[in-house]
Amino acid sequence: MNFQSAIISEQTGFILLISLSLFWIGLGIYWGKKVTSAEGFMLAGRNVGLALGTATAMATWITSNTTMLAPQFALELGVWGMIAYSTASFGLFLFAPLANRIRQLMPNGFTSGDFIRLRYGKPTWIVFLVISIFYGITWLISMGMAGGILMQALANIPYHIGMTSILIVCVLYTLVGGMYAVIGTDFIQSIIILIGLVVVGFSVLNYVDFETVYNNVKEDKPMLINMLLPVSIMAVFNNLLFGIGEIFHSNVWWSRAFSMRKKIGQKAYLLSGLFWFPVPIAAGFIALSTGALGINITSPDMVGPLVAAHVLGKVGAIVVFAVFFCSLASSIDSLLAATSDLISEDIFKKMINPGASEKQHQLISKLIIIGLGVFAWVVCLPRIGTLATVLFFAGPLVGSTIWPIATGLFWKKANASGAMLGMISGSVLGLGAYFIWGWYTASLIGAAVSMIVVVLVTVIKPGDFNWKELDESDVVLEPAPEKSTTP
Amino acid sequence: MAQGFELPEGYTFLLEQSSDKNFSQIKNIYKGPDLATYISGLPDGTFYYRVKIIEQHNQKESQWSSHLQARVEHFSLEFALTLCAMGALVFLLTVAVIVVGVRTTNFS
Repeated sequence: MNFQSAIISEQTGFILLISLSLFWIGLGIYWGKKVTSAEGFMLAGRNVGLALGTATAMATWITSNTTMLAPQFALELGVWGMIAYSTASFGLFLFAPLANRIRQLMPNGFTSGDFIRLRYGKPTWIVFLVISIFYGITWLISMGMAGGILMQALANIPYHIGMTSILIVCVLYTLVGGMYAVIGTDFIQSIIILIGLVVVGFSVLNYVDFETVYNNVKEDKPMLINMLLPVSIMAVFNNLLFGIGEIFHSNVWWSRAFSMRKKIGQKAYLLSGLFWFPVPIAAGFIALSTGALGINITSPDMVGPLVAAHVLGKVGAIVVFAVFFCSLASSIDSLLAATSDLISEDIFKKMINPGASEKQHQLISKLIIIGLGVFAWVVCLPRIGTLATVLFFAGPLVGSTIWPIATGLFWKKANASGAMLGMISGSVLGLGAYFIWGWYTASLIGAAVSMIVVVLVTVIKPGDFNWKELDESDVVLEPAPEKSTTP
Repeated sequence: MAQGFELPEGYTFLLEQSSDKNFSQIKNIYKGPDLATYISGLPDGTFYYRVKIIEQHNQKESQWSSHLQARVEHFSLEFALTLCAMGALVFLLTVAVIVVGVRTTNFS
């Protein structure tokens, strides 16, 4: 149920929706001309440079959750909530050295599933695929629903039209342009998102100063500036570990690591983390300023649009519409591409038809993108509300993958039993914490349990992994034997 | 807090909060036409809410609604700090695995 009226007219909303849709599809067709092989479609020819690499990582990580949930964190958890959300950038920082290591160990790798299969074997791989595909689909569906809900709230566009449009647009341009289109559109979307946030942030500061905001919060919501607010203290590391788990395991980030040129990944992930870090703090400050601005919040995830419309009028609402559309599209396209890669590479090519030709592989990837779009559309259709809680439900599952991934990349002694038991026990106990205490403990417990199990099993039954087993190159170039110069 | 009905044009809500049932000390939370308002950041305790409708044209007011009660109870600080310390430990050890791993593999 909407408790507030739309902030731009339906007509303006439709004009914006159609213009943005045509723009992204047009760019998808343009970049699609570069696709000449399955590798080009899935990994943009493994030739992405620093600027595009940084932009795609940042834009993908700015989801509708960043723009909707970060203000909610500030309103529910206060100052620590803003910091808690920002700690999700640590996932990008820590993945930076991993990206280099991944490219070094798997020069011709395709997915995160490839790594788990080669490193730990099939049983662990299946557990991992269940976690990863569940997470990817949950994220995708939550974005589709958010698209419909946001367009209805912003411009009174019927939910079904908004949700269907954003899914169709993203499916179309990912389908024709593959990873080239995903990364290219991410670059433009990241620029639009950053400009939008800077414009709204500075406009808020023109309206109201820090002191007024502080005094208002101190008077009306005193616990939000209490540095010892228990739930916020728990949420800081919970969110940090959730973010690390999301990035470490998800093929969205691995496919980018494989797409970037060698040694570019580390710099690109570090820079994207730096650019991303202030975004939730800005969004959180905007949320805390609502009391001082005299804005009534009916739903905490609608803070951004309400504040923008209040301080910038119609222009602000249009800016926010574009920012939300971009933040949704940049995540949906990445999820479509990365989940399709995971299913086509790990399930179709490795399980069903190992002898598939490149053409068949590319065709299957495209069919999976369409299938994922249709599946997301069907689940989103009844509008069961926001899936943020379901996304948090995936928190302990992804938290439990941190140690199997990190030790798998650096410890020869890490073994399959530890990784599998770590993921299962971390997921189960983390879910227990989710139901007993709440989402703000679940990822933390999941990661902690998994860490203990991985370390214990490694100590009890150390493995001895040969790193060369991760390289699936068809041709292994051996150094030529040195010619003897002595007679 | 949300109302599940439409308010005709020209009317507004007035929402008040108090820490006692008799509303001896009140705080205006919201005045306007929106059908919901979001309240957060309260300390431990029980809070009471009531709402009335005001006709803007002639300032005619309805009776107060029956009150709604909300109880706020935060987690214990000891529990929160224990979990926070556990989270910090997992994070620092994860960083250590990566930093040592990178140095070792670069060296080798």
